[in-house]
Amino acid sequence: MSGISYEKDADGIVTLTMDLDAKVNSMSAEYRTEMKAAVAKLQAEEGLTGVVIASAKKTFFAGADLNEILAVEKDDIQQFFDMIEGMKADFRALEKLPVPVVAAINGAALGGGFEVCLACNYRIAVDDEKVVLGLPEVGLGLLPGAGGVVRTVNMLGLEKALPFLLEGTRFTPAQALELGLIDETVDSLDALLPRAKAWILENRDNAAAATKPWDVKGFSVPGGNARHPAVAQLIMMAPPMLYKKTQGKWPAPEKILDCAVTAVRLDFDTALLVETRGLCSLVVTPEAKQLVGAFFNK
Amino acid sequence: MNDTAYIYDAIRTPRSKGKAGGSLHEVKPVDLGAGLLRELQRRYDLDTSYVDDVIMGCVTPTGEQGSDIAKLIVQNAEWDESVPGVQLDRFCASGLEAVNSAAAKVLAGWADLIVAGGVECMSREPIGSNGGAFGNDPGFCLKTKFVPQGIGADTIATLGGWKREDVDAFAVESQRRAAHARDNGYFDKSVVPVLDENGLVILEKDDFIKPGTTLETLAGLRASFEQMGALGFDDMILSKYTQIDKVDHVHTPGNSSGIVDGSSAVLIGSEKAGKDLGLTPRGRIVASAVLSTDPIIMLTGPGPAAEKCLKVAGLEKKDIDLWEINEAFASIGLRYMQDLGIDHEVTNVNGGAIAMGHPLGATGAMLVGTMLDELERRDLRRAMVSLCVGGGMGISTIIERV
Repeated sequence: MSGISYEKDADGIVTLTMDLDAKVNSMSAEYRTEMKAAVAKLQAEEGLTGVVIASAKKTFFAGADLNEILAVEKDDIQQFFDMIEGMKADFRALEKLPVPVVAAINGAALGGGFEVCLACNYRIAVDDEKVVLGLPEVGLGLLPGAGGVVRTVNMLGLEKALPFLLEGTRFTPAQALELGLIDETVDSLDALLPRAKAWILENRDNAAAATKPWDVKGFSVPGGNARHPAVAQLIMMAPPMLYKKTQGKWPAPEKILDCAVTAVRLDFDTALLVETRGLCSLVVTPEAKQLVGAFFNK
Repeated sequence: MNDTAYIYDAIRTPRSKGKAGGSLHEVKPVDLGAGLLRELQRRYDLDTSYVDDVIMGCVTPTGEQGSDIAKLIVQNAEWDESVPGVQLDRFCASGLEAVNSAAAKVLAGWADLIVAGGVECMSREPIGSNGGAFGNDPGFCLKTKFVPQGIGADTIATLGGWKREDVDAFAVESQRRAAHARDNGYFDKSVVPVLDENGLVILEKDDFIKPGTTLETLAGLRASFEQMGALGFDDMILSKYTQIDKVDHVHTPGNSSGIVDGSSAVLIGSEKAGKDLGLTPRGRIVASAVLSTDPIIMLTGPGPAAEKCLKVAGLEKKDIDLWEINEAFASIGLRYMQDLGIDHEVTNVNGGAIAMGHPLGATGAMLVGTMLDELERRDLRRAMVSLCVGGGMGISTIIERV
């Protein structure tokens, strides 16, 4: 049995269905190996028209493997860094495929799970209250280090992305749609995969549908980069506003803010690297260990 | 008054391509500089409250490098809050100007210990992004006949009779020497790896050097300033240099200094500082000089500056064992050797900015370290460090082992 099944249909659409050997899908060692293999296979696939990423579990994807997070110590940082970078390279490869990649979000996609979705060109979710979406890492003393900070800032701009990155806001599909974090909702689970495939076929000859905005020459971040006066003003006032809330007690939101600003200052790939370093710095903090530990005991 | 301005140490970061994709692009200027201050603190278990000042050259003090970055680097390194910092800008001389200013303050007895260096993240704050009348004020540019440095460098080559093969040969040798020096560990004492906040290595050694460079590979590169010159800059400079009919545009990216990110820090202090802190001096600043020559051709200052520096020191050319001229362009090195009548064998012995890059405000202080290391390695006594500088200026410093 494979944790991520690979099925190509008559239209040339490959569906990757995640059904990892655990209660929920997470960024486990199994996931990393399977995803790497799947991406390599997609890159070599002939006659490919699109990719759908789906889940066979009730939830879409739960996020990081928290046992792994809890176990990382200072001496393991290089290994942890390499692991995160390896995973992010696969995300990058996925978004650079010449065909559209669609996330078919059947259930909750939080943290790393939502970062999988962000690496896709198009996100469709079932409009159901159980489908909780968002990047709640800050609540665990971490940051969305698998591209979550950099992708949301580049999608929505610093001003729109900062609040939910700093608060770890959870969204319903309708809210996520309004914000622009997802692109479409469907009414039922049954409609999800057909709609995902239909969208791919509708966009067969649309190069833009297969390309991330930041991979288009001349891309600029919505709302402007760090040199834009309004963004510069935001960058200046964000530290005191954050401090007022945290009183300097929590390293995670501070690091998230710094990485988010890096995302409007540097190119996409460099910002991704800085984001990885930020996650590495947080994963060993007592605050992260405490919050992740508390999450387990909930 | 102090009798001597000692060099207690001289360190630098490795240098890397100063564009997106360069190894140091991800590093903020305040972090790049702070890494060096922390290294000085670590090496000598330094009581940072003893430091009287931190002087940092930075030629593009805007954006992330704005707001007196020297002081911000001090804070970022978490040095004692009593330590001040000042950023200065004398164009490409800034790093050496920082060293010279520090030495002068120590000699005057106004300070006992100063860190002098520079920082320039050209990938994050590109050259010219701080504006200025150079190139941005037509009235000023026409009045002073401002032309870009590359046009000046090409004119220097034309006046000197150096053809494309000559400047390319100089560049090939720079690459060969730099690669040899790096690969044999000549820079290891001074080059401090750049680490991230987790202690992971971002860059350990210079990675801008292109060891395989040959005359053939360089011959394929297009002249950088030919088109620009034809638009009118050539006419402007030829109006002054009437002895030549045209400017021979010989400089390319391959025989000009590389755009890189980097930082440097030299620990300069009095004898008292050494005794108080238990530091052993590696050398001393003998003399320094700065002057200006024709601002249009802009880059002919180093030879005259070196002569002036010798006069200040009461020394002669034969008293200098090694010469270091910043390789802003190959013709600058050739002109310097010609002006002073010195041999390439004793000049830029470990290559220069053509191979390793020129992080504008940091370079001058880097060269002090390069020379100090090499004087020690060869067991020699004195070196002259010179740079060409915007506005026609030239700067020189003589250092000596003690």
